[in-house]
Amino acid sequence: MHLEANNIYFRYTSKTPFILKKVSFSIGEGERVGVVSPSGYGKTTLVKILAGYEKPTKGEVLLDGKPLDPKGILPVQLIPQHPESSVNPRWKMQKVLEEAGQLRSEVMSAMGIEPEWLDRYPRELSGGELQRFCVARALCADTRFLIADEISTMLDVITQAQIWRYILSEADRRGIGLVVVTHNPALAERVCARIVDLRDINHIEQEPK
Amino acid sequence: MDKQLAIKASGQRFGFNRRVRTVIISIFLLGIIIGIFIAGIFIGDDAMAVDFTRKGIRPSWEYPFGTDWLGRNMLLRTVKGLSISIMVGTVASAVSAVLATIIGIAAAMGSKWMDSAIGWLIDLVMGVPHLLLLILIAFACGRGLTGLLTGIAVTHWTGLARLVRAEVLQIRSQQYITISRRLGKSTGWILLHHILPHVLPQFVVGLVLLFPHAILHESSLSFLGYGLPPEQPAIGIILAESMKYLTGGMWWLAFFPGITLVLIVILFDKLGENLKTLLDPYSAHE
Repeated sequence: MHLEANNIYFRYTSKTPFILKKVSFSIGEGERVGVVSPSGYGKTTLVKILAGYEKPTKGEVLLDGKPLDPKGILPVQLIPQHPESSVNPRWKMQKVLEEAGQLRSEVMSAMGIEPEWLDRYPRELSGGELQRFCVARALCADTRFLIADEISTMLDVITQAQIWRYILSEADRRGIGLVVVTHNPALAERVCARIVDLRDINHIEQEPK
Repeated sequence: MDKQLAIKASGQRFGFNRRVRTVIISIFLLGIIIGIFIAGIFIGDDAMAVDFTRKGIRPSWEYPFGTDWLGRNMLLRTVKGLSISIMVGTVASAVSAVLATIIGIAAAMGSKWMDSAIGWLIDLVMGVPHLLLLILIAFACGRGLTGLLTGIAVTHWTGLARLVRAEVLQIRSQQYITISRRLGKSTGWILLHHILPHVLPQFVVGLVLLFPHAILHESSLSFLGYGLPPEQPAIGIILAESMKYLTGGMWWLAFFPGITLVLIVILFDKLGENLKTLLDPYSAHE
């Protein structure tokens, strides 16, 4: 499978400036690409468009040459930056996980998810614990591309290492393509085979504030 | 701070936390309301029984609410009247709340056009003075119970519909809804599993808080003669009839039915406030 974005333009309304201008990006099966740049160059916006969360103002996102299907399970899954806003606060964690299909105990143990957490509400878990659930949910059976938007920034190093080890082994095993958005150059170098700097591919004229 | 400490102290004295106490008070309030309702059902023709040997008796131990100019027992009439009011209030506010929820969700989930149309309708219903609209609708649907219920049901949904719409709009823009969609969930599934459970507390609280309005409007409509037929001992009818005898010094004819009506309204209002504390996501875990 192949995921590509062709000449993407994006702005929220016709009165606001472009956030992305003529951005092209592509990733193949099992590839690991890091996306870096200082804040304000549209990293999060780009990955949201890649994962079908936002529609580009101009340009297209193609998965194997076809546009993303708005219905059905999307093979491109995004793990957002803030786990707290990615789970329904009224659901127990069991239901959160089941939304992505059957529970798999090997995923849970590999992610360090304790069985008793399943019976809790999101507010009763810490950010790191919640993020493990979000990773497990995004790695559902149909996922071919995983986009990680600064998923480990707020975690302690041990948790970071644990989560990344699991993601990498799953990606290797299933041939999942990884897009890693990060501020951490060490992480990008360690995890990714190729690094893309948005300063080079995003053609917005003025410097973002 | 002092208040919080006081709440804590009083809770500890009885050995309950605030949640348990609120539940107990709510059940108690609900018990009173249901009790009055059931008592009213069992009072059959007694409330209508005319007995000229006991007409115009002041409130006494035998007749706590007195008797009227036909010798009818005012206590029985008042309880029967309250019972009718509670029944009318239940049906009207239930219909109204269901209507409000459906319309609110439709406005938030539907197209822009639908949202504007519903917004316009809400403004229209809210813009016309409430009682005037009620009288018009009750009159158009034929007076009596049907007209009354229709009138109250179709005029009281607006506030709750707005609330539900705002709530659904807010939920709809949450990130976990987008994630749910990308995990292949349909709009119907999201509505059922994400949105409805979130709106349910608003629905229940809105329903109970609609009660006082519905009951008061039922009474005022009946008082004005557009509501229930005069042979029904509804509170509005009792009050309207008593007007003629007030100048004759029979103050108890209006005083007791009036004050019990106010008490019932306050009971419902307190019940609604209690439910709100229990169900509101921000205070539910206190």
